[in-house]
Amino acid sequence: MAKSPILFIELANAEAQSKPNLNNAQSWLLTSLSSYPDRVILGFGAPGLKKGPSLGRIFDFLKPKSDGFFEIEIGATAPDLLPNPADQLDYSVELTVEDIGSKLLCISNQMRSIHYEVDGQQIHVVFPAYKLEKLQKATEFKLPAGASPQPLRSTATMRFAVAGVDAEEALEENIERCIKEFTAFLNRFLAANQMVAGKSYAQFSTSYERNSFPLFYILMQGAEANVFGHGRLATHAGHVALNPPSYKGDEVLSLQSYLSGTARLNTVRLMLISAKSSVESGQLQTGLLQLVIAAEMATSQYIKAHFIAAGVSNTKWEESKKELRYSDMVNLHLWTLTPKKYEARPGSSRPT
Amino acid sequence: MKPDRALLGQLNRARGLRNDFMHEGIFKVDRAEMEALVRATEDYLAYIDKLEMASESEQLTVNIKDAPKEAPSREEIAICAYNIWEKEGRPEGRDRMHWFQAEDQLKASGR
Repeated sequence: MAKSPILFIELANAEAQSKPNLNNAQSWLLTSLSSYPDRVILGFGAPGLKKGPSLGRIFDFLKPKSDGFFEIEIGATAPDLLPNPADQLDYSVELTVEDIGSKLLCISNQMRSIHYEVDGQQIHVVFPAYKLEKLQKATEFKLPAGASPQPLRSTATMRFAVAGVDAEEALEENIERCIKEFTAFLNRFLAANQMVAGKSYAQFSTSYERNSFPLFYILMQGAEANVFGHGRLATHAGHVALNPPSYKGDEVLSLQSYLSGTARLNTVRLMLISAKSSVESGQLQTGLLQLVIAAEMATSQYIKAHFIAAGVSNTKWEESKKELRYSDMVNLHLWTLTPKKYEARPGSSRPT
Repeated sequence: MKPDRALLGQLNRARGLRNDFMHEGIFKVDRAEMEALVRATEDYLAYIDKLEMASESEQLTVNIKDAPKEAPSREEIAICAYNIWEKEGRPEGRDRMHWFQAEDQLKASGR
């Protein structure tokens, strides 16, 4: 293997763009100063969870617009710094995803964040670089002198109109769909960048899934134009928890057996997990290919085991497997090899 | 009873969609159908797991009943495979095939 030279590289911040392209009619997060407590997040409860009145209602100060809708803006910082079109550090693009439709995606490569402590509470402010001076002068943010802004990777937002009797219901009824659609649009955007980037594609993620983003920024507006509910939503508390989970009892033994190689990783199951993740993030084509591969792997391995157990020689299997079509395995061999007492029924034996 | 026809129908549907996409670049599946295909594939894999477990337990019964012969060791197979390779004139790239042939020969000869 060739030697890989390693150098010291000094990173330089991009200059802030004095005239931004985005305005707050397109994106609130990417054009404003917004602050968030570091240790308070929104997270999903178990499905069917009944919340008591003592918990209050999320964003209950927002009233629906006259048409009964609220507007949600979802934002996320990608793991990548995607290229600027014609040196523009922020911009919007109208994108189309086949089974969803067209929507406006806003992107900024000039977002910053500053973490600091106010009155014993750790908070951070997210803002476009050109608003640093305004932030430093704004007394309500209580920014300590000399606080250092940290550049964020490409940050994207998208808006959705959602209905509900109040803000909480509108949010809870629609947030899953909004996150799925937002991720699908981001993947469409990423795919276009991969096509243009040519050989530089390796600097970008292959695709985004909900696990690519530990947190989503949520900004919500109702009837009053200048009143917002805002927070950060973790799709899984494990993404943001400060204490790592711990394996117990049998789980420790199971982990050890997989790590030492005494237990074999189930490659079919891992392929299925990849397929589900692709479908979740709107990569339907990749998801379809992975699903069919998982089913074909499982079928082929089962058919092979049966042939060998029935006395077919390994040599003959090696020769004939090239000619064995997936369609024949599912529609012919599976029928002849399946014991009569076993029947597959949809939903009867789905693993949890 | 044999594999559920509706379930296999969905697997065949996924295979057909895969073929349309691979060979013609056509992809006409919406998210709802994809999610249904994910569920069908999960059911199918669980079904295959069940069959494999059943096969293993039946195999165990057969093994106990028939008191099987000891399987050839890796060393025995390696020696036999080497002999086949020599006999065929030491061809390149057939090591895997020779290994299987050796395994089959040893099993057939009662080892």
